[in-house]
Amino acid sequence: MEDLIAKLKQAFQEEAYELLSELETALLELEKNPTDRNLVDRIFRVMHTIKGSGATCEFREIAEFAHELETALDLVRKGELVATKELIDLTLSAQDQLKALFDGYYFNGAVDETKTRRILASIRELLPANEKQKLAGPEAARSAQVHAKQTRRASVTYRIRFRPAPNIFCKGINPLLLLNELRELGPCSVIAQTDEIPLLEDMDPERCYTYWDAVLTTSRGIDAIKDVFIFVKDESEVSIDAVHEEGVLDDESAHKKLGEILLERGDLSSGELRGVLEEQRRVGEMLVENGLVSGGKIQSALLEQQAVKELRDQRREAFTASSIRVPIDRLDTLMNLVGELVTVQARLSQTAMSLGAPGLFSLAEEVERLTADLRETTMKIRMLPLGTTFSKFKRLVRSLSQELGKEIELVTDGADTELDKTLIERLTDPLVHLIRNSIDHGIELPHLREAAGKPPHGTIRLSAVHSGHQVLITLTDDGAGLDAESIRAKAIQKGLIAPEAVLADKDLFSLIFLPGFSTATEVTSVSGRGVGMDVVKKAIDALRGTIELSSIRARGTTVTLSLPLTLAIIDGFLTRIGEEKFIFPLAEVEECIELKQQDLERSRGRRLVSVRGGLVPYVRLREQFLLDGERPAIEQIVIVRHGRQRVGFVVDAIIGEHQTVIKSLGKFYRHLDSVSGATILGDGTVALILDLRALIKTAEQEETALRA
Amino acid sequence: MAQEFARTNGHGRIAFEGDLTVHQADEIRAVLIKALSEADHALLNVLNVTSADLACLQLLCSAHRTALQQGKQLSYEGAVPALVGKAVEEAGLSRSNGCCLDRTRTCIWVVK
Repeated sequence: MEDLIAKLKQAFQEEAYELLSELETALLELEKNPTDRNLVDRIFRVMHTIKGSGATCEFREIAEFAHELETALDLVRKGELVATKELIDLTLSAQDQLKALFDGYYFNGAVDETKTRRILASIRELLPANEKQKLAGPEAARSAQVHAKQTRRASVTYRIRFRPAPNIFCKGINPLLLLNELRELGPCSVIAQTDEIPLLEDMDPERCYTYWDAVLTTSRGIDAIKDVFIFVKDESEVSIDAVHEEGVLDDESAHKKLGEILLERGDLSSGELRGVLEEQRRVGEMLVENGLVSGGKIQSALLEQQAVKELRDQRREAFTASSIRVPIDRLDTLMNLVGELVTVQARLSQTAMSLGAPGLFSLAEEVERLTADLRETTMKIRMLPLGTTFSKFKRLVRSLSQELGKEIELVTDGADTELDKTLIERLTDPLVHLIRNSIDHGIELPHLREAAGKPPHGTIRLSAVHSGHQVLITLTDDGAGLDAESIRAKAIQKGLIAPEAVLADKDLFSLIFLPGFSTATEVTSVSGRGVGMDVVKKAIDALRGTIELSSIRARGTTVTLSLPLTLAIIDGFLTRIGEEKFIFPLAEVEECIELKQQDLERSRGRRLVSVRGGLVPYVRLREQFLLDGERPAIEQIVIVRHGRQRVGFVVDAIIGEHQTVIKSLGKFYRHLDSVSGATILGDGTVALILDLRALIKTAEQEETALRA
Repeated sequence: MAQEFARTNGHGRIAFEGDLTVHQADEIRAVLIKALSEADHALLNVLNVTSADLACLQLLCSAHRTALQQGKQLSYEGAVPALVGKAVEEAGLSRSNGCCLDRTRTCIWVVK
């Protein structure tokens, strides 16, 4: 038993925190729509589950606390209590306290028990007088425990026949009340059988001739059904048979009717089948007509069929929508194995190519295809919707804006956009920084906004969207916007730019990503310590993403993050310079062109190449990496897009696409900023993965230095 | 309970009022027998009935079966009040097909 409880606790851990986060999201939504019944129901359900599962796991404090909260929420559900801001605030603190209690159980966190009592006392204050005394502790939790056990049972469909004693009316028992009790146990269809009702002349009007067939689906067990008939069972006939049990597999579901098979094979059209079936009379009708079975019995049998079918459909639906929880380290291992497999597959392809055996070559191709599919699937398994992170921010915005006396609404969009789990985790902190900045520096105080002709409440919009192999996350606020002049003044003061330098707004704004740059004149608890934006930039860089900032004075600021979908494996573009191999991230490659001797002569030493009438600057990687050896007569330029500009990189030869498993270079090479990692090729050699942004930046700096 | 029987051009009209319970079952049975013996088509008016228990619903069912057996008709005149409808529903009498005797498909419990 102890062991079982321990297992239950472990199984409930993840769900518990998810429930708390669901509770938080729903409460914040309820604050906006206090009359939304669906939301109240949702909150109630979550609290109910916390209570039930808490009791099952023997988390006594949680079960008791949740029970009392549930009582208050039930009143809201019944419309006897209004979901005021005060109540929502209290429930949110209750949610925090529940989290603390769970932390206490799972991570031995400290729990301030007086807080539980304080919250409950405050909630009680809000209740109508007659409900206050209902909030009682241990007794209620025990009933919750019993209830939890009841709700965990599987649903079973029963066929019940109830034939009361003929003299039941004389005993003052109303059989209809028993039927109603039966209905309370779960979805129930009751059909009265009238075939034993005699003709008027033969009838004793005080005798009961009616009997019933019921089909009941309940999770309360057969004993609950027997309890309904407990006072009449000695004189009545009660038979209860289980006709279908949840979780018990039956073969009938796999059994197809002839018509269905013919339809599937295309031997028969659905119209033809319908036509024939319409002509055919139903078995039930024919039986009734021949006086073999009464309509009531047919109907009862049909209802039983229907109830079983519905249950089976529900179960099938639940099965298809079901998911399993897998520890993340298993997924990491899976990803690593796929990475190894990709490397081995590259070796296989190479060996097949060098051996020139056609059979082996086609086999290698097949393995390559399968590996690519496996890689794709594994990556998808690791994807999580961003919504999980978004919901955390709603609470953040709410509490920070309250703290600063601002009215701010967070609107999210694209919460179902999926991203690698690791990326999501590492994205939370930068996003928190950005949102804090928007709240503190962006959105103005209500009276200032009104003076500027804006609505008093500000809006922060957080949206996510897939764009090719990347996810774009945009954070927009309708606040004051960046003050270009004060950024400029600060930059001059810090010696970052020369006083006479002319910078476009975009370049000026990018200065705020430099370490220690803050224009806030006073430090608040929210932001303005001059750490933040550089940390954000570093974090995004580390995720191989980019950050861009645009802002219009008095209108607001937009920060756009573009991030790769995953960190583990990318589609690479393999190239060669001398004996060294280099990989370009394929997503960034636009096209490749040849660079011939005559092009070099024509450009007279300037590193520009003409591509369809336009000039594209290029960088010689051979020079960047100080590689020896002769340049071939015809070199290749790999053209990539960099912002609005196109830049070329000159390599000796192009090898082709390559599934690239990213390996980090280790701490000795951490300072290298022109490569973002390495990968192992099929022949066991190492190819470096180019960090194109860093390379372009270095080239630009060198160019500027040359000009100066 | 109050009941009234009147005969008009072949139709026997029975109007019930108030509560129809097991205590009035004898009376109800008698008036139904009378109606069916005196008319080919008995019309049941339950418009002013305030409640009906299973004993009485059974009697109505029996009356319909008796009518069918005698080659006569029994049907409602006017609507069935909600409270009576609820009792029919609770008793599980509502159905889509009548009993074996209901060749004429006039079962008073069939939901149209």
